[in-house]
Amino acid sequence: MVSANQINLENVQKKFSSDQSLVLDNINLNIPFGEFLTILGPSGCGKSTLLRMIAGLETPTNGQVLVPINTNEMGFVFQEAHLLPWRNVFENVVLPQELKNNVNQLSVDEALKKFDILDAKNKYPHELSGGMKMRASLARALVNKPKLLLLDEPFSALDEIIRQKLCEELRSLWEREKITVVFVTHSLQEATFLSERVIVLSKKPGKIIFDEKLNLPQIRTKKLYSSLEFIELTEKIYNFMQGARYEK
Amino acid sequence: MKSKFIYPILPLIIISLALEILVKTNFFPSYLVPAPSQVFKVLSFENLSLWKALGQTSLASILGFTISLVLGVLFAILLSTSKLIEKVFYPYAVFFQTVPIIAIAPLLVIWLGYGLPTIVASSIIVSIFPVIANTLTGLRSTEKPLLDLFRLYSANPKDTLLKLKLPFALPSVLVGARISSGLAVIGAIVGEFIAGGGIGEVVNVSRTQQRVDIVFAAVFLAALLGLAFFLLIDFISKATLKAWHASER
Repeated sequence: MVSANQINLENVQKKFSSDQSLVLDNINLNIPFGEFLTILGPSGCGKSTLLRMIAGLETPTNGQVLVPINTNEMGFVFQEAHLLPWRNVFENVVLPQELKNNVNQLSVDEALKKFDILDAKNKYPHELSGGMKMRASLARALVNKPKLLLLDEPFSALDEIIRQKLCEELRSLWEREKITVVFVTHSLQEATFLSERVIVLSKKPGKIIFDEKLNLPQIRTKKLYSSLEFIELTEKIYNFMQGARYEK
Repeated sequence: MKSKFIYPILPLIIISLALEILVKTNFFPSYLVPAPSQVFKVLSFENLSLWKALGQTSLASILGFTISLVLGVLFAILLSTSKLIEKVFYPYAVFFQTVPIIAIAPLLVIWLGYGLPTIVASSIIVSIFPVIANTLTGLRSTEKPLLDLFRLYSANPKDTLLKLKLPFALPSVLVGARISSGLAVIGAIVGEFIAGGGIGEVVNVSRTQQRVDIVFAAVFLAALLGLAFFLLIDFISKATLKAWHASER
């Protein structure tokens, strides 16, 4: 059922023109607005391609992707921060507004504050640590107050402590603002901690082999990691992930 | 800072002193290699026209280099807009790299006459290719995720060029400019050999008069001019890239 309050993917198939290999097959997925969805799956199964199709950066070979949101209302965070090296943090974060001729310094400061990087607003990317760069990248993605936030393994290059801290900050941001989030990751713990719903793709060509809402508390803190329900859920998804490697 | 200038000057002083002794002791005949003191004499007192010639060559080189830089960057931007345009026009850019300027300089005289226009044209032909090639490489190497980001934010082509592709290409443009700056001086002097005026004419005339001291002085001034150009681009490069690019930190 197609609705204006959800992102809808119907019978989506994706082949890359370079080698005509099938990357994604028969993807049917509804993402209601306000949901935090995580996509898991083995390397090369098409997780990032799926995310890029939702962003409108790729088109499906067959089927349709309906995203009733303007691209200006999306934020995208890549695996690496990808800041413009000739601009300082402030100038990087203001970029989406600058491109729309709609600069609002207060909202930029607000985004910087949200990710605790206001003090570094005049620093250049080469002066920042990996964690700070990612904070700036998240602030850039959120400066326009997007309705949809797409994240492609944003924390994979960070150390465990910073990764955990950013996970908590992202989760609490979602709890406060309830924006729609689609998150791609390799990390089971990240997926279980952050999401309301997890899907697992099989190995290439990626098909959805697991799709489940997680029955975990809304407010999530570090303590969740040691709870029985968290461990059981992580194990359950892990088993599907194991299956994903052999699923045809 | 001092050592930056002293170290390169030291070999010049040592070689000059050795040459002075070798010429004064008639080890080298002075009609083949002039004594450095004689070259300095030419530079300082005898020949005011030499300095006038330097002024003419400087003007032609600055014009040639500036036009090469502007046209080269614009041409590279045009080539970067599509693979088809690059395939069609890039071979013509290579023409500037491979053409023997000394062979077509007489044609330039026929088309543009004697004087500045021919000399500037010669300077452009010799110096434009490094700007085109390096700018194109810089424009083509823009990171794909950043291009995706600009697409996602519905950036128009002008913003994508001015706020992403050109700043990304700037280090490459400056590498091209550095190479091109020296070539612009060479191109101008070659043009002056055919079209007259400047250091090129001084060298040509002095050669026929067996005045190797003037030839040496003229070559020395040409080298200084090329060096001044190079240092200027180096300064601009440091000023624009120091804050963010690894090559100038």
